[in-house]
This record gives sequence, C-alpha cells and structure tokens, in this order.
Amino acid sequence: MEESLDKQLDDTMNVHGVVGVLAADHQGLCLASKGNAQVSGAGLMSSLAEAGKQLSSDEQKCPVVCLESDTCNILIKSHDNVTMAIYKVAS
Amino acid sequence: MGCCFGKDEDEYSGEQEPDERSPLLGNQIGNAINRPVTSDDFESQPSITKGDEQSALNRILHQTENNVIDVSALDSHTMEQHEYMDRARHYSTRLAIVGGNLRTMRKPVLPIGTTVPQAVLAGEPISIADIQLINSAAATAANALSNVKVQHKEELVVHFVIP
Repeated sequence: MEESLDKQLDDTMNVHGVVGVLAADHQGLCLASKGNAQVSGAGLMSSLAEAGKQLSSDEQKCPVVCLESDTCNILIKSHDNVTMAIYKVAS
Repeated sequence: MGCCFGKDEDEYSGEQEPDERSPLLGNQIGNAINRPVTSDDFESQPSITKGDEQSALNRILHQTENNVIDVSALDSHTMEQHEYMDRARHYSTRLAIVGGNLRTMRKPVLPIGTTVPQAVLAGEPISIADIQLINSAAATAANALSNVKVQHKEELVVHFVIP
C-alpha cells in the first residue's frame, strides 16, 4: 500500500541537501509531501512536468525541470503519471 | 380637478384649510426637483415675447430638465461627486490593510527567485547526481504507487431488510 511510497519519500529526504519532497498525480493531486514542500504546490509541479513533456516528441521521455532560486533548487520529473518534486539546497 | 400642470391649483395653494383638492406636494416649493411646473414659471420670462426665441427655448428646455426626475441617472449622478472619491479612498485603504494580512497569511508556493540571474545563468548546470536522484526517485515513486490498491473493507451497498 502507501507505506512503500512513504518509505521512498523518507529515503529521498535522507539524501544530503534535500529539504523537501512532494509526489503528485498527473492531475495535480498531492499524494504525499514531506519537509519544506507545500501541498498547495502540487498542481503547479504537475503542470510544469506536463509542460516539459511537450518539449519532446517521445511522450515517454519527460525532461527534468529545475527551478533555481537563491535558497534552493526544485527538481521536477514526471514518470508514469506520477510527478516527483525534490527541494534541494543548491550545492 | 387640478393637475400638476393645471392653473387651477394656484387658487388652492394659499393658506386654505387642506381638503381633497389641496396639493400633496404644495409645501415643497423650494425643492427644484419635485416642484411642479406652474404658469408662474412661464409668466416670469419676458424673453419669450421680446427676446431671442432660441434662448427662450433653451431656457424652457433647461427648466424642464430641472423639473424632470431622471431616476436612472440619479444614483450615478450622486456617486460621481464627492461620495465616489470618498468611497474609492475608503475601499483602497481597507484593501491595503486586508490585502497585507492576506499576503502574510499565505506562504508562497515557490521560493523567491534569484536576485542575480546573470550569475545563475552563467553558473554550472545542475549536477548529474541531482538528475540521477530525481530520475530514480520518480521511477521508485511510480513503482510504489502502482502497488497501491483500493481495499474494500466494507460493503458500499447496504441492503435494508424490509420486513
């Protein structure tokens, strides 16, 4: 059940520099979030990943979207209708 | 029987006792909007007979405008004066107060952007390790979510036992 998704998010949070993770479905529904990631940002992350998909002719390939700021970088990637967003402190 | 524009009401507009012929709005002579047009208004205009006819017509038109109550333009007319400015000032001050509170109550979804975009653009792109991290995390999350199944623990349809 969802324990495996929860454990996987915990493992990602334990990576050095990661301050927040968020998982959403392809419609922007937040499935899980930890750390600094806000639930209200799930729709935005999902739509950014969907927009990134349109850059490639191959629908299976989804690029990694990176939002850079002074405080942290947000890495966004969609895979099989699941969008992951990782808030990582810029190294 | 007198009417608003009739001459008959002049003889009843004095200091007589009020009866069924007394005008109901007779006391509002000073009010230009509600005052009915009487024959005195036209008799006091010497320009009708000896002055310019066009100016006389304009004067009659202007007087009629004063006597006609335009209900549709009444609100906007009053609002366009000082009241409109007062309300606009009041609303803007209230909005500044409430808007400031709303802005502080809600945290921004995305972090504030960079102040030195040229440094970010000239810097190194994100590392391969970060890309591998997000790739593996997305693939693992999709795999984990595929194992999520809805478990029906109770009946969705309940049959009522009808005796």
